[in-house]
Amino acid sequence: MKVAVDQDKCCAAGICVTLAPDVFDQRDEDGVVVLLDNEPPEDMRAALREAAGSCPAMAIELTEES
Amino acid sequence: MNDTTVNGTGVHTAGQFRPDDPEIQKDPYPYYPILREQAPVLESDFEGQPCWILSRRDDILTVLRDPETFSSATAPISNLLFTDPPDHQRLRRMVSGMFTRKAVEPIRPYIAEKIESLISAALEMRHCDFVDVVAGQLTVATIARVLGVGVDDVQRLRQLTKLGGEYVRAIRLGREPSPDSLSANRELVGFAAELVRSSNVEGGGVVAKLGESARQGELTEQECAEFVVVLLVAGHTTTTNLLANSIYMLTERPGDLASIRDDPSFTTSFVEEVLRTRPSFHRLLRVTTREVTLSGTRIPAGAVVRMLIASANRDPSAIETPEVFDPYRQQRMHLAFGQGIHTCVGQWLARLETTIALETIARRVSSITLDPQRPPIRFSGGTFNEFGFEHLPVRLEPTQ
Repeated sequence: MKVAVDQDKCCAAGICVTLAPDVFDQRDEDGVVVLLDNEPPEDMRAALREAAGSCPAMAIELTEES
Repeated sequence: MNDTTVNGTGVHTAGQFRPDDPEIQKDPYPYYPILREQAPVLESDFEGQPCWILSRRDDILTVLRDPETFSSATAPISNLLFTDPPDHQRLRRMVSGMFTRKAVEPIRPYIAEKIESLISAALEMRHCDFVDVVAGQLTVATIARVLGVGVDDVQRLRQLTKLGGEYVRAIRLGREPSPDSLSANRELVGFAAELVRSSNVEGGGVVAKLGESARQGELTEQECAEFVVVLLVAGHTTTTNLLANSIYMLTERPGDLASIRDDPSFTTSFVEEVLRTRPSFHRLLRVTTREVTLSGTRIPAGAVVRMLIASANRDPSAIETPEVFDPYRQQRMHLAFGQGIHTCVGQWLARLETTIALETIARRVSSITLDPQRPPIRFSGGTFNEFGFEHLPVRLEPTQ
């Protein structure tokens, strides 16, 4: 599973960081999301789905690898 | 379900729901299932201003996630709450870095020390109003600390906040604000402007950062002062409600106090369940920028939409047994902090503060009961139909 984030949409709520701290971080200056790992391990799937689904700004996009 | 639902206080119908009736708003819960099922898009009015009331979670999420169609410009005030992109993002990013989970963590020892001394004082009194003596004090002190400012007169600020809410409500409805609320708003903005003037960047804190942004021309002095007012006001009212609502739940569920004492992860899910079942405000509003259809009902352009987030939090389409208070739930689906680009910027501070307060209380206090002589006085109203307690008189017994 591949992960992409849209920093323009991000509202810095930080929910993704709580759910998957190895994948997401926040910039110090404004809290905007930073992607640490764009191809996280498969066992992160559930956490990533939750992160994408609960992102208030819908700034996380997941794509299945074909 | 039939047309009506019967509960302890009688029969309720969707048509009886009045968003501006203070008696109904003190306990609006019996109406929510009826609204969701029979009138998910209820055409109504708020003190004569027409509005559409939404009660289903799906519809509310649709609105909160689409700021282009549903604008936040519902009051002629250019602050974080009432602006749309791109202004909103410009303002929000000036402060959002200072409210992340990581950024608020260093304030933990300050909060811990403050609540410790407030609880000592409350225990000495045995009977006290939890709102005046503990919750209101802690939340004002905490937000002042984060902002990097001093607030000497906590009760005065709380008074001004209440009147300031009336001012915002009046101008939002296009009414003449009362002289009291007008002068309270002036005093609040003046107080904030003075805080900005006396701040300096080396001192740290959010106000100093905003002051610096103003000096660099990124926002006007007026915007800067109004920004500080919003942070100050939203930073203590909502958390006071959350803390008081949590304590009220503990009076109803005394066993949970021991669980908080024994298990930090319980405290986290307990707070989330209080947020879900008793969110600190019940409603949010937007105005439509074009015609739109929700749950089969057409809403015209320029219409005020009022979202019952407390109803969304109990929508059975998203959560099982929604009426049950279950502090072990792991699902975080509630909209107590909103959703979308306006999601509460202070949510991690609110969680941190409430968790530390409850943990300290559980350690110091063996039982919390309502004061039989003085029943709690509910508070609902304010800018966002806040939901909490004006007064919550309790008896506290110390742990041995």
